[in-house]
Amino acid sequence: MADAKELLKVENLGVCFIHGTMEAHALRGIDLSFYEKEIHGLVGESGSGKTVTSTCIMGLLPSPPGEITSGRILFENENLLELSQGQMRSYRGRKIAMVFQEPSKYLNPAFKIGEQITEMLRLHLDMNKEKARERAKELLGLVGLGKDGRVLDSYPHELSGGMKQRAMIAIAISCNPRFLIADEPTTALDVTLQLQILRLIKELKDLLGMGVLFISHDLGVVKEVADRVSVIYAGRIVESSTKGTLFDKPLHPYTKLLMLSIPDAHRRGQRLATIPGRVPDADATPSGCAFHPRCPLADDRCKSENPELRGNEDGHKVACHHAGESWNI
Amino acid sequence: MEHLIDCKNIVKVHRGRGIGGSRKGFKALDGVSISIDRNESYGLVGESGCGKTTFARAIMFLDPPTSGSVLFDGTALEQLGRREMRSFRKRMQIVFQDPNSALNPKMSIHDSLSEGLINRGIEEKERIGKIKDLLELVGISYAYKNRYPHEFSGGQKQRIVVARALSMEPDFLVLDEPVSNLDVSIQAQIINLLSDLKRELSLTYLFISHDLNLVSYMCDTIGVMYKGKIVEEASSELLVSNPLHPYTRRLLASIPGGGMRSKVNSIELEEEDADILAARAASRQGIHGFKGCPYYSLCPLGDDECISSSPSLRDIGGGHVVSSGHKVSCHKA
Repeated sequence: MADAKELLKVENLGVCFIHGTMEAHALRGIDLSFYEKEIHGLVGESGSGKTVTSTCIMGLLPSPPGEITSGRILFENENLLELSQGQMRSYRGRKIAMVFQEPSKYLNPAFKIGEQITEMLRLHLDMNKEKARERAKELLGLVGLGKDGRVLDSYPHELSGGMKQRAMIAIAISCNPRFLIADEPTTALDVTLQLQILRLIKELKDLLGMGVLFISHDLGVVKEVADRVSVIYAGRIVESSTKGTLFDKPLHPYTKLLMLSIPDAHRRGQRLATIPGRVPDADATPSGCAFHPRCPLADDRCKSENPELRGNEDGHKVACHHAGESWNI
Repeated sequence: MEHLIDCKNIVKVHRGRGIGGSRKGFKALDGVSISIDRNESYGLVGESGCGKTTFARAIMFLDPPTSGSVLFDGTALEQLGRREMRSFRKRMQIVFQDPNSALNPKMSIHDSLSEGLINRGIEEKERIGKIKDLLELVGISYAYKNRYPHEFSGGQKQRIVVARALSMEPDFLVLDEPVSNLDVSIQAQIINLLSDLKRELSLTYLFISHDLNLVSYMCDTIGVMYKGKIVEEASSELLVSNPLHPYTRRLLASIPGGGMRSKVNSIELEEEDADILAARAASRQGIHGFKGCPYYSLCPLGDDECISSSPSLRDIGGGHVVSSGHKVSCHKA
């Protein structure tokens, strides 16, 4: 996708949470590039720094305790990290929007869906009441909630989980954002609904030409929806590539093990590959390569030297001293 | 093989409060009959709210069914008194989804594990040995016995919950979404642990999950539940390779990543068919006390037959020499 226009770029972003004397390095220098009309999937386990990445881009990092220690986030020739709160507010929702995991938590139960959509339109686009309502109706049609606008006058509790997530998406895309962050948008939904929402996000991406950051812990979901995939572990990107390459030829042992540890019907009777131990806490990240205590390929070099994220000629980037090596599972 | 547990026609009606509510009630389980062989693992899949957990609680008589019978190793559970039930229940244990809320935060894990053993009347000396064995069995160091739940990670807590369930030396274990709350890399550890335990202790599992990938890996037989009814039941291989009910097909086709999609010829009613869906919902509402197939309003195959009568679960011999044990409840299968 060399011809696609770069939309947003995260460079060497580092985030630290400070609790008294304890310092938790949640992000330790990550680089991510997002392109127009492309869904970039970010996969990682809980505590690996997925959500911190998205809150930084939205400028919503709670500070204190959070502190950005290094890096830049470039969007439309501006470094988002240098903007004032007021300037950031004009980006947030207007140009960069977000869809959350649990729609019931983020929709205001006291307001009708229509009011929550028109609020965005009136605030950011200065629409009058009638125009905003017309537009809200269109948006609901776009996300598959019916063209008659019946849902406009519904309260969140009158909608099912899938409908609420659709309403959330309608609010997020109301101002035609350039960039959408979807943070585990389907985790709270049933499988059949999940697929519908994933398809909807894909459709809207093409329709509106947005770049999308899609955060998930589920490799299957990312495989379904993303064009490009990055794997994050303990606050570092360990592997990044286009979807096809990453799933066909994973190079990092962590990515490989993650793929092998997913059960399915073909593996019946076989033991699942497991990753021993657990994700390290952000305040006690191991030295060298953070994955070395759990890695089957680790040697002395991995304990002392943190591997750089290096790309090969196809743009497949991996941070591992032993990238591509195989071992006995 | 003999059945360890035989459930017949389990019905559970949740009575609503208020005017009218108490009379009608909500039928959470509508005549579910399954039997599980000794040493088998039976997978129950379905979407949230379809009655999976209600079923598990009903057959363990934690929340007794409104009607129906459960035969556990020759004992009819509905005939047991409260006391007898309590002592009988040690043979059937349950592992819940969320290990954080399943463990008492104010009890050290030694105390948590002792509780059941004390109830079983085991002397202190023997108890300590047992706790040691149990922790070893699930892969937790005995040195941690005086720690409290918050000092463990989610995966370790789930191991402790499994150890606690095993402390009663049960024959039958209900696993209610045992790995849904865990990280991907931890899930595989717990799944391997559960398979090992099943083999070592010859346990029988009822495995409840919404994840068809996981269930088809873990279980010998799979039952698909929809709106409080089993709509299809077959051995794992058969269900995955030849799903007959349109709902099962839809579930298989919805597995993200699309591994199954090429195999399953799923016909779906999506938003573009909103008119059909609306018409069906309306026709369903128009009929007082709808008797038809519960899946009718979403089914791409539905016709008049599906409105007039609800299909029952029937065995499909389907080209096999011996009866395949593939049951499906659909007029169009």
